[in-house]
Amino acid sequence: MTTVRLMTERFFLSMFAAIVLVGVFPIAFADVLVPVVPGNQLSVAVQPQVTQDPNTQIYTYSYTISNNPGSLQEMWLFAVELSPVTEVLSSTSPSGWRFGVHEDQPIASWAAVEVGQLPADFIDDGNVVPSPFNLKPGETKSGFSFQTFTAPTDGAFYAQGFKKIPQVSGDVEELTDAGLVEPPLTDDSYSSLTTTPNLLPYGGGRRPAVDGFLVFLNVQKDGNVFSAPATIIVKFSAAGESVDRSTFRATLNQRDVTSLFVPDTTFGGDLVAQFDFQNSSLAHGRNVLLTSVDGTVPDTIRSATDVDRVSFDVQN
Amino acid sequence: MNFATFPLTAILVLATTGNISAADFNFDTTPSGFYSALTVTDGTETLMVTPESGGFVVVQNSGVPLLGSMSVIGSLVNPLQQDRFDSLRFTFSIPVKSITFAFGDAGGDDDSNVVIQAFDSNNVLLGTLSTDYPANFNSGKTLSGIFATGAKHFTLRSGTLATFNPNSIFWEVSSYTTSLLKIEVVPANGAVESSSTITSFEPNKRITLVARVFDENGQLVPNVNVRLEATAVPGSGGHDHHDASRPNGSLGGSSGTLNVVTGNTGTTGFVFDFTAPEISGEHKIAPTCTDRTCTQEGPDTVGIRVSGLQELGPGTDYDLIGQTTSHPQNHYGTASLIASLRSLAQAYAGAFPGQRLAYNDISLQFGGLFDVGKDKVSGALIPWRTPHRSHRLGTDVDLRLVPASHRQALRHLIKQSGISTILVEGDHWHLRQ
Repeated sequence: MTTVRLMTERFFLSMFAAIVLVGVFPIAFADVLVPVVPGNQLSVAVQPQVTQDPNTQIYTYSYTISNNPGSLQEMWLFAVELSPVTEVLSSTSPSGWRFGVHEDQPIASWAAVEVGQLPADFIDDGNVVPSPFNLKPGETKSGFSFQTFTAPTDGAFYAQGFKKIPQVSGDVEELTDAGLVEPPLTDDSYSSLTTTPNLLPYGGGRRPAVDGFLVFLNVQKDGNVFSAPATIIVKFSAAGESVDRSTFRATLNQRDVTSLFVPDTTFGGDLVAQFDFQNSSLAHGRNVLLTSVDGTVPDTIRSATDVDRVSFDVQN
Repeated sequence: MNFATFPLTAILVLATTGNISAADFNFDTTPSGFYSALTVTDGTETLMVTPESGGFVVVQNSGVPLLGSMSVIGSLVNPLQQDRFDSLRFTFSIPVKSITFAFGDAGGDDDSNVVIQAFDSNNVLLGTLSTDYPANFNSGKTLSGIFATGAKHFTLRSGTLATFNPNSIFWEVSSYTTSLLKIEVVPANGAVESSSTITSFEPNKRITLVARVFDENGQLVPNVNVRLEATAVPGSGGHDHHDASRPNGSLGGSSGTLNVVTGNTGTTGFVFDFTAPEISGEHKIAPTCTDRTCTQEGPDTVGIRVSGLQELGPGTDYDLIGQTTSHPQNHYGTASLIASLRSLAQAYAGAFPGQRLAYNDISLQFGGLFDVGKDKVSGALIPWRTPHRSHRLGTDVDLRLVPASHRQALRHLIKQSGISTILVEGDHWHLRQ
């Protein structure tokens, strides 16, 4: 008698709990076919290589990646951190991989996307098909590279293991309630540091409030070495500041070279100047470029002038 | 009789406009007696009669045929004494646009003139009516006036403005028309959104509104009983289907489930809550005065919407699918999602020339519940209910499956486009930014 009553109570308690759960988590209508799986069940080693072309000042970043033999997942995606203003000029990818720059955050990534010929008995479940080009545990792959003007420094990389996309049999009521939302890539990957174009552009460094009015994309504070012609790329409003571009002025070795800066967004900047010995005051050896532009100090209505001074050597 | 202030042409208008209530304030049914103040109600209008010098309002038969069985007279003392009469003040709860006073004396004393002055709600003199009243005249006379801006109170006296004649004159109102009252509904905090919209806010949210009644002078009329009714506008919010079960906004307090609320405006207005349903759209707020006549003025619409949604119009690299007769516009999203979907389609077409993405439901024009559920047997739409709970804020979109060989590339492109979540839902991918 006691046992029967206990079972009856348990039944009703279970029913009550089920009713409560259905009320709180209105998933319904769908069975979970593929749950959310962590994408960090792997570890990788990254060997970076960075070179700079002294003629163009363009850096080439190359990565060789090894998936640890002990990894539980194949690597399908590899990403590196960029600076917010990094412009990728070109890229290469290993066979079967594709490169892209993310729109919502300063990240560039490669992914194994080619799946080859699907077998004749392939049954389409609506999900992704693993690529045979995934980097399997124990494998090493190179050929991941891109070019940019942004100088190197330490930056994060993210390696994500291959996994199916979460899948349900039909429409779900609410993804979050159903626990079907994958974490962001940067939280759902194996991550460590490598060398990336993550260095913020040089803005003068003297007045932080106005330094972002104008920044140099391919010139750092020190150690700039060019071959003639010397190309200088500037960008306005690096942090979204309000800048009056009509006030831009530039002198090279105390000669006005403002007119040599022409609009050009090819390299991610706003103006590009190409100095040679004929068209400007470019000199062998040390050169001094002075720029100025007016803008509004962020969070104020005050106008201010960002004056930047950079020096570079011309060696030919 | 002297229409010194108001021309005859204006008097003629009296007979054809307004709510004429002839003889309702003639006091014929008022018990005789001495009153410190007398209040008489006639439907939505209330008349208060008070003595000007602190005496009495006396109701009794005047003996004047024109005044019927009862009328009022002001008296400084009780009982009435010769030469101890007083002026009266007639104050109306709703300002009157026109009025005719009847007055008289059965004769025998030295009556001379009568003077009636009209004032508005701000106690500004609107005009003066006057006429003579000979000593032995006993038939009674009338004085009429029209006050376009509404007269709130009148002083009625015997004699002239300069000299009060403390002799007997009995008074009553033969007819009147009330000033037009206006009722408006505004947000309790802040200004109205536009000439047509009171305010807009999100589904399932609540906002406090206030209903106020004004006279034609823009003066707040206190203590008006009002009724508010909220009704969803058919076809609004992207729902081109409509039936009686479409949820209306709830009026009242936090537990309110009805779309009708009543109350009194008190001295500052009637404050009430509007709780939006989970379905976006427009709701008409119909305010009425229940104890008098008033007309709605100002915006009458509450907008229930998820703000900032934009339409994903046609594009060269994608198709828009999923439109139905019930929901013909199903591609509204946040600006960010719309931009991402455009660039995603462009990138996909770049990766697979000639291939196009097909975007199904995002959100309706104003967001909110997207009722796409269908009866499993009949296939008919089940309106005003889930599913599609995720397609309310313009952040989610359904994407038709692409060829299996392209999906891993599409997955990568989706991550690049700033769309964070992918879920395979049966025969499509569900994306969320």
